[in-house]
Amino acid sequence: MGLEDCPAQNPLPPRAPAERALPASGGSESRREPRERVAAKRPGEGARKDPRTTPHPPAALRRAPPSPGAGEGKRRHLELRLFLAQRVSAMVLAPLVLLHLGVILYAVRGGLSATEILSRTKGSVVWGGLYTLFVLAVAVHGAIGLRAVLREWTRHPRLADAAALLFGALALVLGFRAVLVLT
Amino acid sequence: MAELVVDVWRGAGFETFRVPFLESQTVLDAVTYIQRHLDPTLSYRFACRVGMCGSCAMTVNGVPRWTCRTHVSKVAKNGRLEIRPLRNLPVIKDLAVDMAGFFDKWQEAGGRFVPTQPGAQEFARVDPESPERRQASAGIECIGCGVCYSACDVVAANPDYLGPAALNRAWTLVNDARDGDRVGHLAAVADDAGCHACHSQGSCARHCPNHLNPTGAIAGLKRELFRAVLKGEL
Repeated sequence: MGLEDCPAQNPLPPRAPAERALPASGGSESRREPRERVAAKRPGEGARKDPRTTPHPPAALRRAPPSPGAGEGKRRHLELRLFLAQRVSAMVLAPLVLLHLGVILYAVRGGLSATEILSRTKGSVVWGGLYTLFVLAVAVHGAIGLRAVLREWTRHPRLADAAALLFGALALVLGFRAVLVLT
Repeated sequence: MAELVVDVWRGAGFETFRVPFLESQTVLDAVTYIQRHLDPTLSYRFACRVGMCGSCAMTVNGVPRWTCRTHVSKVAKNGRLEIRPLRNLPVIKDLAVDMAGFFDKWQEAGGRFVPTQPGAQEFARVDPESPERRQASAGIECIGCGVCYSACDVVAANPDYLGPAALNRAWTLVNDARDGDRVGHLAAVADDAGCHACHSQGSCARHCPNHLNPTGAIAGLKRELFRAVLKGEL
């Protein structure tokens, strides 16, 4: 049963002294299909290099060179640290976003005018502090998220880094400008 | 006798075969019928035929599966099957893919057991009910068939990504009380192409024929890495 063992070349003609030629002694060994051993194939040769097409879009099955600086020196585990920063900033953002939405709903429904709002926020350490934290968290979280998306979509790590830094800087500038105006 | 129409990927396109439909026939049976009776040049791979070896995985009607454990009657659509090689792996010929890159990633993910007591004569005593051992036991039944790797869209988009199987292996070692390099295993999956690349889409868990949960394993790695950084281990 099993593979139809073709009995073609049954007793393996004594092969030239190849490295892996076995002394034909082992009982079960010698009964095995000789072709298998002849074709002891080395992975990573022949077919593997063959850029034959496949039915799926395997655009780059060859592995890309490691991204510059990954895992060396100071940038060791940079991705890990960014991931953590994003997780932590998300934890900070979750309640702050709810608070922010609540404030908007309250202000709009209560019909507060700009002057009334400013009168409550001006000089307030609490509002100033909360929104400072909000701006910081947005800058960190948004920048890292944007970087991750761009890295995956464009495959240009440097472009992603630059865009993320730009976004972070912009968020900080615009955010703090707003905080300064309000408080 | 009812007939099954089977479209088989042959490298340059599909070739259509007509195979007699039988009761309790598996997809592997159909492929084997083609190779034995219709076209002996068809290349494919199998060994055990009972879901133990993990060599017969192919893409059947768009879904990666063990062909030996898939009944034709369950997956055929209007009496048709479309059989392709696994996705995300270089095709050698027809339905046989090169698994070398897949297993290389197991090494890259630090999937090698590091003994704490080399040459120990006694069995290590591990409580099978401990939380760590339960985690390890849940993932240990992987037979390396490559179905999850083929199902993973992140692998498709990023060929560097270590993939669900390799990360699942790393997770079993992280939870193995006998392993001596927990932090090393974590560090191996902490970089660019490691566990943080996972989108948690869950295709690996959805398609794993052994019902393992690599998505959960990857989430566990992320969690333990978080702790390791907080503890200053990384």
